Amino acid sequence: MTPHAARIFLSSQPSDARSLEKVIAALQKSPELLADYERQLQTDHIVGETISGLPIPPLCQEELAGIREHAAATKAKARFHPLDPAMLSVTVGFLLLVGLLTWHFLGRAGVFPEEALSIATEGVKLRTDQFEIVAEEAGVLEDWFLMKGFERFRVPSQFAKFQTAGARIFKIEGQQVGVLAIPENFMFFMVFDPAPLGIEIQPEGSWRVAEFDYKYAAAIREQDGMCFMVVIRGTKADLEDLIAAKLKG
Amino acid sequence: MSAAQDDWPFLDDAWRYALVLTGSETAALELLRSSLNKLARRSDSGDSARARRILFASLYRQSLAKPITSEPSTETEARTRPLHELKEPGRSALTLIGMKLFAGEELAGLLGESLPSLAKSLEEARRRVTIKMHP
Repeated sequence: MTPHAARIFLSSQPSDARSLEKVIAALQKSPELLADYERQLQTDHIVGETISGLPIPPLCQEELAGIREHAAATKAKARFHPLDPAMLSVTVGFLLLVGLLTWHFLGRAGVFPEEALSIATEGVKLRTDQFEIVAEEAGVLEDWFLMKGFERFRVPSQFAKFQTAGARIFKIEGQQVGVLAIPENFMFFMVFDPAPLGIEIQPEGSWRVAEFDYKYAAAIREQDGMCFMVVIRGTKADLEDLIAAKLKG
Repeated sequence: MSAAQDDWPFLDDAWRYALVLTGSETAALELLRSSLNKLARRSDSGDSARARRILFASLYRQSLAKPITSEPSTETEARTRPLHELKEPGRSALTLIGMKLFAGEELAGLLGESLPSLAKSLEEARRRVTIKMHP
């Protein structure tokens, strides 16, 4: 950089300190221009001193204090104005989030758990020869399952009188599922612990009913930490009728 | 110090700059009040540095839109007269550089000038103010 270019550069007091060092080094090659720059600094300093030293008249000081308060108050109002584009964006975003969460949780409340449908789908694939022959009522098989290593096998009292043709345990995602084959209505009863599978059916004792694979229907409820599921070959309406009849009876 | 004072630490400097622009204490206050009201209505004034930049730019633009020339009636007004009588943008550039409120690049943006143009205006303003202060 030439001393002349350096002098022009320094006229506007740039802020880049690293550039400034190089520029002043270039300027020092010309004592005349360096002296001119020093005069500039002196003039700027005098101007600065003149202005900074200006006393603010008492009346102006009072007015400035009032302006401070007023401006700060107005600024605060403007900052939180509901029609401010930024505030509108935040509000709309918040409402959308609330709506999404509400939809998610309310929707989830009445939905048949996807994981339970997987269990039902696996259960209906079992062939007759894969069951052990058990000719007992469904409600008395708790000990039979206990002997097989499956604890807490429970059948709701309304379904306890169904005659069983076979029983077995199968695993899905490492979790045991107790299954009964019920000749009446071509039904299966399935009992499993819902917690490890991420299934939760609230409120306790309420039923969820769904159709699957075009020809089956499943109904599930949770009681005392265990799920009981009825699977029939039929429609959702058929299963709802069956449950209603059992609940009445 | 109140929260309001924290919000406007540069207000005294703004009044002094407005005094240079108008040459009158009363007119300076009017100009400052008007600019602050504009600033307070903006939702993007952001932090203190940004608010300061917007305020000083507003003072400059308003003074350009409605130039005010006053005869000094107080000692304070008389002391600013050499600066007040300078032409823009050199007057504002020299005043704000002297007050060390803005560096060259920021000042050029605030006044809407290129750096070379700002340098030229500053040189002219410095030359004139030196003559007026030390005739």
